Amino acid sequence: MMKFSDSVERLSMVVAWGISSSIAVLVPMIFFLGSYQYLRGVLEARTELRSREISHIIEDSPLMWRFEEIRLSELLGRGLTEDRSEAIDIVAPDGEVIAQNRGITGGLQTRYYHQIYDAGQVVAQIRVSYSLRPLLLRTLLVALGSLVLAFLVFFMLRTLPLRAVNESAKVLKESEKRYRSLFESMKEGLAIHRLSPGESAPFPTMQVLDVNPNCLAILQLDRQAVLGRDSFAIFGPGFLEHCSEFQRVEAREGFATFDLTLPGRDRLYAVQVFSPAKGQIATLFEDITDRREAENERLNLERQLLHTQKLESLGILSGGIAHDFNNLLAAMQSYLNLVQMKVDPQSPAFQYLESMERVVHRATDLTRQMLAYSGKSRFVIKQHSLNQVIEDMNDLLKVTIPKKILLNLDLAPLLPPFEADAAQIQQLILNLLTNASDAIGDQEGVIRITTRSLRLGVGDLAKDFQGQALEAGAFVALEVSDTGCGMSPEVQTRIFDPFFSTKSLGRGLGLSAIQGILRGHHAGLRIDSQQGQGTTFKVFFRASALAMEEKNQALAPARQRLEGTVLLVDDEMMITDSVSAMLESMGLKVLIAHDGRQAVKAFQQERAAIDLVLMDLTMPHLDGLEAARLIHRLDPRMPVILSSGYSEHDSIQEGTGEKAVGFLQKPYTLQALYEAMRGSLERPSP
Amino acid sequence: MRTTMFWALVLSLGTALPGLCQATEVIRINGSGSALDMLKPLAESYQRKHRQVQIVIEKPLGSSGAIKALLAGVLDVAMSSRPISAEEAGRGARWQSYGKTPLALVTEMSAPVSDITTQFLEDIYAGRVAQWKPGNPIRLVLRPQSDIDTQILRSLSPGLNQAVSLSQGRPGMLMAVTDLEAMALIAKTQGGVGPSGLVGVLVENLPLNVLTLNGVRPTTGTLASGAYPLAKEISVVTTAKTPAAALAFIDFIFSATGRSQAEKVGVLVTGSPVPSR
Repeated sequence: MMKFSDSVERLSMVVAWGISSSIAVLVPMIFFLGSYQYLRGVLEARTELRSREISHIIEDSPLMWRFEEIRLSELLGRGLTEDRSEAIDIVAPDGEVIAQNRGITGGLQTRYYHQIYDAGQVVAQIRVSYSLRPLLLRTLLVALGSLVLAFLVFFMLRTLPLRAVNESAKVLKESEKRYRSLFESMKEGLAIHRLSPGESAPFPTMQVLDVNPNCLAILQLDRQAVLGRDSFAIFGPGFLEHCSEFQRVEAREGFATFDLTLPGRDRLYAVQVFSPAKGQIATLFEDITDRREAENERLNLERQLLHTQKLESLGILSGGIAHDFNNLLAAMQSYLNLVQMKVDPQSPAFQYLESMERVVHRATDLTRQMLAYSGKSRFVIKQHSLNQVIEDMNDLLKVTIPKKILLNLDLAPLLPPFEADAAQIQQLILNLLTNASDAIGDQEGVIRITTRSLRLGVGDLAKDFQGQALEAGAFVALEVSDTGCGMSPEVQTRIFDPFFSTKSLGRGLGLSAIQGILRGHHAGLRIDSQQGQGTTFKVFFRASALAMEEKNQALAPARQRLEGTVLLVDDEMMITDSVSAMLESMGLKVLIAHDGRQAVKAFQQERAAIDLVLMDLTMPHLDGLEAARLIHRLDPRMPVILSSGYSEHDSIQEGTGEKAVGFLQKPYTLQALYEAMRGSLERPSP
Repeated sequence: MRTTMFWALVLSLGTALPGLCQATEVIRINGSGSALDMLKPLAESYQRKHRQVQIVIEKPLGSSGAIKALLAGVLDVAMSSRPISAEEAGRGARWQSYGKTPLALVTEMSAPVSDITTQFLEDIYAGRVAQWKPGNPIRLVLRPQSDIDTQILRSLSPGLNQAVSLSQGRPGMLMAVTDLEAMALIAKTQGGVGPSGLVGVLVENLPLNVLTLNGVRPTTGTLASGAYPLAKEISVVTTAKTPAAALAFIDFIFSATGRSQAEKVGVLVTGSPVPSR
């Protein structure tokens, strides 16, 4: 900055001196030369006129003209009254002065001689001497004036521009200081490069001109190692990929942005490119690693939320379908069991009825899968040993997988118990096993079922169970791994979608149901899979702090006639018809209500006669739970058995359902109904 | 000018005719205008009596020019309106005073004026007065600064001396070098005014109005009495080389006859009857 200011000062000094000197010297000189030329012209013209008049005098008197002193003197003195600087002599060829007019001719003077002719002969010469003193005096005055003018010009050229330059320099210095402060303190890394056309076009060369401290921190280099170096070598091959953008920005004064990962850095930078000056490129590096991760996480969450909403919608849909199907199946099961009671077991028709019942059971399994997916299947939550659950289904496991596949059980001893619905867990294991078996296909392979206990910390959950509602603590893990074909990342993202299957005959509900079961048990899931190397599903159940209760295996009682009156409440006519028929086949009297209000009203009217209430949960006007609550308000000891095509596990656990003596999941068999009736009717009064 | 040509022709014829029978002696005379004006009738008279003498009087050179020509041997006699200088005397010039004639102030005939005061003259020369009366402009004819008439005028009063200097410096002024040119210029210029020897006015007989100065008419009488202040000297300058014929003519003009004829044309002869040699 100071160099620039000094340079301008020197330049202005030279210019001011040059112009002022020119004014001081040239103006008087030009004035003198001009005036001198003018004076010479006047002298010559005046002398020429005089010589003409003298020639006339000579013509009049060729012999005596030279003695006409007065006439000649008057002629010479004409016009010189004021101008006394001129001295004129008329001199004869022999040197005699014929006439003269003497002015003041001392000092420097200019001379002019003019010949006078008479018939071609020189008869005299006019000699004019003109004193230059007046002209020199005038020139001196002009010179003094020029000096004053030169001084003023020098002052103006020297002082005024310098003042402006100094002010500009001051403003520029402050601007530079602001820029430098911003440059040094900005949190982004800023590098300025010189962009030059490469020797072998179209590849340009870029050289680092300046970098700010944060840019050095990003590069983890010191200034000497960066300045003047090849920009592409410093900022890596990713930088080189954008050289065409650099050229475009430098040529059109626009800007460009791109993301860049520097060599050896695991950070992501957003790079903004602009051109601060011709031939220069500035790159602004902003660390967007955290922001990008946050954005990815937010996108993940949005995707998960969307997925969850989709699954919930599908769950509601599938739950509704399953509920209605269960009602249909319940009626079919009821009527089928009633027919079986009427038909001789030895009759060929009885076998068909059994086949029909198996079909109904398969349909029941299907609706259970749908309910499991929707998370609305009924969970009978109890403490279980995971090892015991697996061992109880050992035979089932063996028949589920082909013979070529070896099943290994690696069950860790002394596992803590966990709270779960054992049937749902078995369903989960069967689905995983089926999935593993399908992954191995017709090939030979191994399926390993492993159990273990472990503790998951907050870090583990954040790392491996993102988006899953798990709390840190002790867990019981179930791992099902196979040596099958594995899954691509794309397949992994879709395996829980309902009706998504890689198998030609798959229904696409197995793993979807698993997700519903996991959600119902607040369990976590992790999948490790690599294509060609197999897949491991890891399920993490929350370990229970309570000690394991011993199981009491009750034997199925023999069916006997029962006595009592049952208030059957259901909004489905086919259910009331079929179930009332089953109840009456057991010897029970049946009162029917088609919604909660009717049930409460009927209970108020027939309170003394009613021994048990079999209540559907989902009904119009007043649902089963509310009706049961009102009935218990009228008679707290009245046994109520709830029934539903759904499994309203949460509602039963949290609401008045906890006062129910039992729950029947539709469709239920005659035997299940009988056991429920008998258990409630024969229950001793509290 | 025509008068001059006439006199030159007359003098030439007068001298040429007698020369047919005997040798002609040529006397070359020049000088101031007034002196030559006085000399012309005298020369005519002298040539009538001396047929062998031819007196040549050309256009007046003025006193200084004539003396210089005399000393150069170009003239035989110089008629001067001033005394000779020491240098001229040293070079052989011999001076004899003859007389003097009034320096009159004359105007063009239509100028409505007959008398002029010194004060009015000063105003004219200083440029303070430009009209005789409304509608009649004054046109002043100057003589050269070195001319004897200008110097005589200067001597009239300090105011006039200063006014003359002013007039010499004023541009566009009318200027006449000789007496004859001055008279001719005044005569032909409406409202013209200027100085002129009285002898010239009388000899040349031009249409000029002679003014009285402060009420005094310019005559030999007023000059002799000292009433008229402006006078032009007339003197004769010769050298040792002046031929005898010229000296004889000089004797003639100094003679009673010559004096009488000179006084007739307005010259107050003051010189002694016998010229010195």
